[in-house]
Amino acid sequence: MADGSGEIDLRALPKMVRWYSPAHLVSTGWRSVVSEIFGQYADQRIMQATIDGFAPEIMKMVVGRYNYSDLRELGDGDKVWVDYIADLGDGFDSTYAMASLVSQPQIDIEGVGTLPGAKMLIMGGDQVYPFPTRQAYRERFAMPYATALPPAPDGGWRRLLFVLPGNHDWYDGLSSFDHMFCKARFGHAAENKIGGWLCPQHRSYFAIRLPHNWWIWGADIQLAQYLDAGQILYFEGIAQEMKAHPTEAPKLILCTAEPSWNYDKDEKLQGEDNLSTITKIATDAGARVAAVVAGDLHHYSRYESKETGTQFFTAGGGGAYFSPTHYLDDTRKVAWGDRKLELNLKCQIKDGKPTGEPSCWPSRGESRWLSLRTLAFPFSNYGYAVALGVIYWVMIWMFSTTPYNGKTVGETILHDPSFHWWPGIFMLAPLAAATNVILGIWCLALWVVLYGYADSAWGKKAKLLLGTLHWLAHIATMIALYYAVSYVSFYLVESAWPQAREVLENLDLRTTPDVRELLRAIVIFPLIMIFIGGLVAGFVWGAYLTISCLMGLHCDQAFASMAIPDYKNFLRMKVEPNKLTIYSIGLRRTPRRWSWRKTKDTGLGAVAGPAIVPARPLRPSLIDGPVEIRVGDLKRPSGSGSAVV
Amino acid sequence: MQARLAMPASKLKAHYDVVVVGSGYGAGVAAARLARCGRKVAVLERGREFLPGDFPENVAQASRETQVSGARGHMGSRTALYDVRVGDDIHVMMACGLGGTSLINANVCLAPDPRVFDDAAWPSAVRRDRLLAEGFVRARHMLRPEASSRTQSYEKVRALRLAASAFERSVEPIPLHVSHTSGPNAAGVHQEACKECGDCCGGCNVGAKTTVASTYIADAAAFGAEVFTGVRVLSLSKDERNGWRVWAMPTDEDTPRGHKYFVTADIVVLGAGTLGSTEILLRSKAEGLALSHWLGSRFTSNGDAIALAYNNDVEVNGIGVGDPPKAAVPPVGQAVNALIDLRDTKDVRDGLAMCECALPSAFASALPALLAPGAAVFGEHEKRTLGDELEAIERATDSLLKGAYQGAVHNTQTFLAVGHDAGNGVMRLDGDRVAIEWTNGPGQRVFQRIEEMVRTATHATGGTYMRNPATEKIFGGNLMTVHPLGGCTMGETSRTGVVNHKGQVFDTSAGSSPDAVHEGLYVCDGAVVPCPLGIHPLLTITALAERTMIHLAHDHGWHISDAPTPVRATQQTPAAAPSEGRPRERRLPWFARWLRRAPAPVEGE
Ligand SMILES: Cc1cc2nc3c(=O)[nH]c(=O)nc-3n(C[C@H](O)[C@H](O)[C@H](O)COP(=O)(O)OP(=O)(O)OC[C@H]3O[C@@H](n4cnc5c(N)ncnc54)[C@H](O)[C@@H]3O)c2cc1C
Ligand SMILES: [Fe+2]
Repeated sequence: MADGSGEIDLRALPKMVRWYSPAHLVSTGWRSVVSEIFGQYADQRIMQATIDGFAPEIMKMVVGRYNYSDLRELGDGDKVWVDYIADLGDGFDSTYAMASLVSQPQIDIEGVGTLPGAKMLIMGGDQVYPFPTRQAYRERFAMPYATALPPAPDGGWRRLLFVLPGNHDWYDGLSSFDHMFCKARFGHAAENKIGGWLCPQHRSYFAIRLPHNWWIWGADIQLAQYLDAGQILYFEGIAQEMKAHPTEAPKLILCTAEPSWNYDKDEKLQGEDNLSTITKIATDAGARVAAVVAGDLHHYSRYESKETGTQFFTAGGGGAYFSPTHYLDDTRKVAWGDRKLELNLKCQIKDGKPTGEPSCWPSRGESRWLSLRTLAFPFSNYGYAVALGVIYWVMIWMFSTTPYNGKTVGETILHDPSFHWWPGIFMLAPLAAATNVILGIWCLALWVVLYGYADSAWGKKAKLLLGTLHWLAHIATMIALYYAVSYVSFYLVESAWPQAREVLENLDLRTTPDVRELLRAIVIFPLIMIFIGGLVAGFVWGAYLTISCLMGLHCDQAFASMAIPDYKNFLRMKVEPNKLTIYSIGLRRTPRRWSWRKTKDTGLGAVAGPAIVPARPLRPSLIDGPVEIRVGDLKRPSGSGSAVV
Repeated sequence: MQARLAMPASKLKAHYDVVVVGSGYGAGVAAARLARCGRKVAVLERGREFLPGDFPENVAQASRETQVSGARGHMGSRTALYDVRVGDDIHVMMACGLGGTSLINANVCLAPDPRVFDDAAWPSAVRRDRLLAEGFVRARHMLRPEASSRTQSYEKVRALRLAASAFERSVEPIPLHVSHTSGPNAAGVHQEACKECGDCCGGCNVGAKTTVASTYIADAAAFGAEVFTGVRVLSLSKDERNGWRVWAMPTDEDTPRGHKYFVTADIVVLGAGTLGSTEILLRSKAEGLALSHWLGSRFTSNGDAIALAYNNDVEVNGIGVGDPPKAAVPPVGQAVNALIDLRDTKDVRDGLAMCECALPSAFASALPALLAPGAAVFGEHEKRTLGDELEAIERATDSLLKGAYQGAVHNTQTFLAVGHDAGNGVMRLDGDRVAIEWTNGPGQRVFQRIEEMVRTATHATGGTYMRNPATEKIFGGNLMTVHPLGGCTMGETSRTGVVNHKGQVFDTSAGSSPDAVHEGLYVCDGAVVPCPLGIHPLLTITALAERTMIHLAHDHGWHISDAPTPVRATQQTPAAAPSEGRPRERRLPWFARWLRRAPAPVEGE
C-alpha cells in the first residue's frame, strides 16, 4: 500500500497521534531516553560520512552533487520554484491534504494568481510521528506522498525530494530515516523513488546548487545537538565551491531542523551554536543568507533582521498538530556568525504591503481563542483522564483509610459531626500524609512529576510556583471529589441495594451491611471516581494548560492535547537571479476522514493522478507575503575574503 | 513620475570633486556611487533629456531624431536621439541623450557565460577578487531585470519557438529592465506598468522602461549630483592645481572654435560609451596626454548581427504599436522577449545566442515600402508551393496597402544574434570624428555561422531571409552593430591594455612603470571590455562599473552609502505619518489592550 497502489481502506489510514494516550506516554518516554544515548554513542552521521568518504579527492565529487544549476533542468523560464514543508507524517487527513497541495501541478490562490508546482521539495524534519519505525514511515509518510504524486506513466520520477531529519526521525538513531532517504549512498541515486518523488540524497544533510549560484543548505543538528565534524567539512567544501563563481555572488537559503531563534539557549550546547557555526561558514565565503527556514514548531511565523535583511521562517505545517502563535515574542536575538542579530516579528505583509502586524498565522488573537479548546481536554484525551482517575482513586483510598483518632480519616471527614471541614481539612490532610508514609510518598511523587512537567520558560521560581499550584489544584480536587463521589455513591448504593441484595441472595452470598459498604467502597466508588472523577481530574489538567497557555506557557503541550489538524502551511519559493520570493501558503481547514474520495469512485481519475481526492477542492490562501527578498538589500557579509571589503 | 533632472551648461561651476562624462550605464553607476560617497559630482551629457512622452511617435519625428555621421560628414541635429555612425567596415548605432543607449535598447539583462572571464584578455584580478559578482548583484538590484510572465504568449515568441525547434532547443524568457507593474523603482522613481506595445527600441513613452536616467542618474541627483545636458566633452588635460581639465563645448555647435571651455575636477570618470570615451582619449592623446598604444584597439562588435525573416507563414506581430496603440493587434510584448541559447558549446567562443525583436512603431509606416522591395532583391527563401507563394504575395500586397500591422510585415520576424568575433577592430581619429577600421571584420566565421543560424530559423517559419538591409552590398556590404565594445580595454599593464582592472588609465609618460596610472582618471563603460562577451553587454558593463566604483571608493577610503534613495523635494509624495508627533503608545498586556481605545487627553485641556 505504501506505493499508492492496491486497495486503500480510508478508515484504516493513520489518525492523528494522541500524545496524551497513556500507552504512548510510556513508550515515548523511555524511547527518547534511549535515543539520546544512541545519538551520542552511535552517531549515524559519522557512519554516513565514513561510508561516503571524506578524502579530499572524494570530497570534490561529494560537493559537486545535487547540481541543478542548469535552468533547463528545473527551471520555469529564468526562475526555479522550490517548496518547503516540515513536520508531516502525522494523521492521514492533514498530511495528505498538504501532500496533495504540494503535488498539484499548480495552485490558484486568491489575490496572487496561479503558482506553478515546484519541481523540488525540501522536507524540514519530523517526517513521521511519533516514533520512526519503517512501518510508520511507510504508513504516515510514504503512503500519502506516493498517493498524492504517483510515478510518471513510464514509471519514472517527476519531482525531487530532499529530506532533513528532525527530532522524531532521530528517535531510533536515524536508522529508519537512513534506510528511507539515503539509499543513494549505496549507488541507488536514480532508484530511490517514493511514488513520483526521487530522493537523490546520500547523507542526512545536503547542499543543493540552484541556478545563479543560489544554494539551499540543509543542516542536520541531530537531537538539537552539535554539528558533527564530517558535516562541517562538507559545508566548508561547499563554501569553497560557491565562492568560485566569477559572475554570480553566492546566495543561500538555509534549512535547519529547529528554529533556534525561538528557543532560549540550550545549556547542552556548551557555548556552541549550530546556527552561528553554519552561518559563519557561509558568510565567510561571502554568501548572503536570504532566508533561514525551519519547522519543529507547528505553526507559521516570520522574523526579520533589519540589519542583514535575512528572513527567519518557522513553517512546521506539514500535518502534525497545530501549535499556537500567541506566545511568540515580538523581538528575539539570534547568534549569527560572530555576532547577535536582532529579529523582529512585526513584519507581516498582506497583499504585498507591510502592515506592521506580527507576522504569524493564525493571528495571536485567533490562537488565544483556540487555546480555550484545551478546556475540553478530558474528552479529547479520555484515556489520560481515566489514568488520572486511577491515580486519584489510589491516593484517595489511601487517604481515607489512614487511621485517625481511632477511626479512619474517611469516617472522620464524612461522619464525625464535630469535624468541620473548613478549616479542619488543612490539619487533617497533612497529618494523613505524614502518618501514612505511602500516601506521603505518592503525594511527593505527584509533586515531583508536576513540578517536572511545569514550563520553565519563565525561570526556576516560576516553574516551582506553577508546579506547586498545579499540584495543589489536584490535591484540592481530589478531596473535593472524595466528598462528592462518596455522597453520590451512598445515594447510589441506597437505591441499588435492593436489587443487589436479591442478586447476592440468589448467589447464596452474605448480605450484611458490611457487604453493602464493601459494594459501595470497592465497586461503586472506584467506578465513579475513575471514570467520572477522571473527567474532573482531566478538566483540572486542561484548565491548568488553558490558563498557562493563555499566559504563554505550556503552549505546545496544550495544543498537542487537542491535536488540531487544521492551520497547515508550507512555503513555495521562487528563486530568481536577484530575488527570492516566498509565498507562505496556508490551509485553514483540512478535510476530515469522511470527505476523502477515491478517485476511481468519482470516475475522474486520470491514471497518473492521485488516487485519493477531497470531496471539495482544497482552499489554500496566502497567509503572509509574498515576501520579496532582494539580493541587493541583503547586507553583504564583511570579511568575505575579497581584496576589498 | 520621472522628474526633470538636467540643468543647462550655463549653471556649471568651475570645479567639482568628480566629473562624469556621459550618462549611460557606466557613467550612471559612477555618478550614483560617487554621489553616495558624498562627493560633489557633475554629469556631463552631450544629448538632451527625454522623459516618457518625449520619444518619437511617427516617421517624421523619428527622422528628426536621427543623426547620421560618417566620412562624408554629419547629417541631422547633433542632439538627435538615434545616433548612427556609418563606417567603411562597420556601422554602429547608439543613443544620444540623458541615460545613454539605455533609452533605446532592448532591455536585455543577461550575464555572459562565466567562461568568458577565463579569457586571457581580462586582468586576473577580475577573476580573483570576486567583486565582479558583487557588481552583478548591485546592477541587478538597481535595474531589477524580470521576464514578462506572459513571455510565452506573445506571437513573436511563439514564432521563435517554431524557429528554435529547428535547433532542437526551447526558447528561454529573457529578464528585461522593464517594470511589469506600476510603482516606485529601485531609485524611488515611479514607473508605469509596461503596456506591451513593443516600442522599447524607439524610446518608451509609457514610462515602463527602467532607463539609466530613471535609476542611476535619478539616484545620483537625489544625492546631490548636478546633471548637465547639451555638453559635449572634447578632451582632457592635466591642470597644475586642480587635477583635471575637462574640455567641452555646446553639443549643438558644429565646431569648437570659440565655444570651447573647461571645468576642473579631482576625478574624471569617462562613461561616454565605447565610441565616446575612446574618442575623448584619442583626442587627449593627440593633445599630449601619455596613453597606452592600445588606445582605440580591440574594438569588437560583440559578434552582433541583425537579420529579418520577412513574410513568414505564421503570425509574428513583431512591429511595435506604441501607446496609444496605432493598431488593434494582440499585445506585442516588449522589444525582445525570448532567447535561443546556443552558448553551451565546448569552446566558449563558438557560442551563439539569438533573440527576436520588435521594431519600434515610429518606423512602422515606412517598413512595408522598405521591406517589400528589399526582400524581392536581396531576400532568399525556400522553395514554396504555388499556394504558399500566392499567399505570400497576397500578404506582401496587404502590407503595402494596409500598413505594417497586416500581411507580410506583420509576419516579419527580426532576429538579433550575438556571438564572439575576433575583437580586433581599430578606432582612429579622423579629423573631428572617430572612425572604425576593421578590414577583416565582415569576413569572420562568426558572421557566417550567424547567417546560417538565422537562415535555418527563417526557413522553419517559412519566411524570406534578409540580412539587415543596412548591411547589404549596395550600402557598402559591411556590418552593423548595436553592441560596440572595446577601445580602452582593461589589461594588467600599459603593455596589454589602456586601463587597469580598476578602470584607472595607464600613464605611459617616459620613465613611468608599466602599471603606473594617471591619478584620478577612470574609464567605466563598454570601452573597457577587452573581448566579445557573446551576450548582450549592458548588464556586464553595469557590473564592471559597479566593481570599478567599489575599488575607487575603497582606494580613497570612502563609504558608498546604502541608504535608500531620498525622495526629492520636487516629487510629490503623500505626507508620511509623523511618528514623532504622536505620543508613544503605552505597552499594555494583551488583555488590557482595549484601554488604548480611550482618547488620549488633549494637551492644554
Ligand atoms: C537598439 C539597441 C538595442 C540594444 N539592446 C540591448 C539589449 O537588449 N541588451 C544589452 O545588453 N545591450 C543592448 N544594447 C547595447 C547597450 O545599450 C550598450 O552596450 C550600452 O548602452 C553601452 O553603455 P555605455 O555605458 O557603454 O554607453 P552608452 O549607454 O552608449 O552611453 C554613452 C553616453 O555618453 C554620451 N556621450 C558620448 N560622447 C560624449 C561626449 N563627447 N560628451 C558627452 N557625452 C557623450 C552619449 O550621448 C551617451 O548618452 C542595445 C543597443 C542599441 C543601440
Ligand atoms: Fe514536529
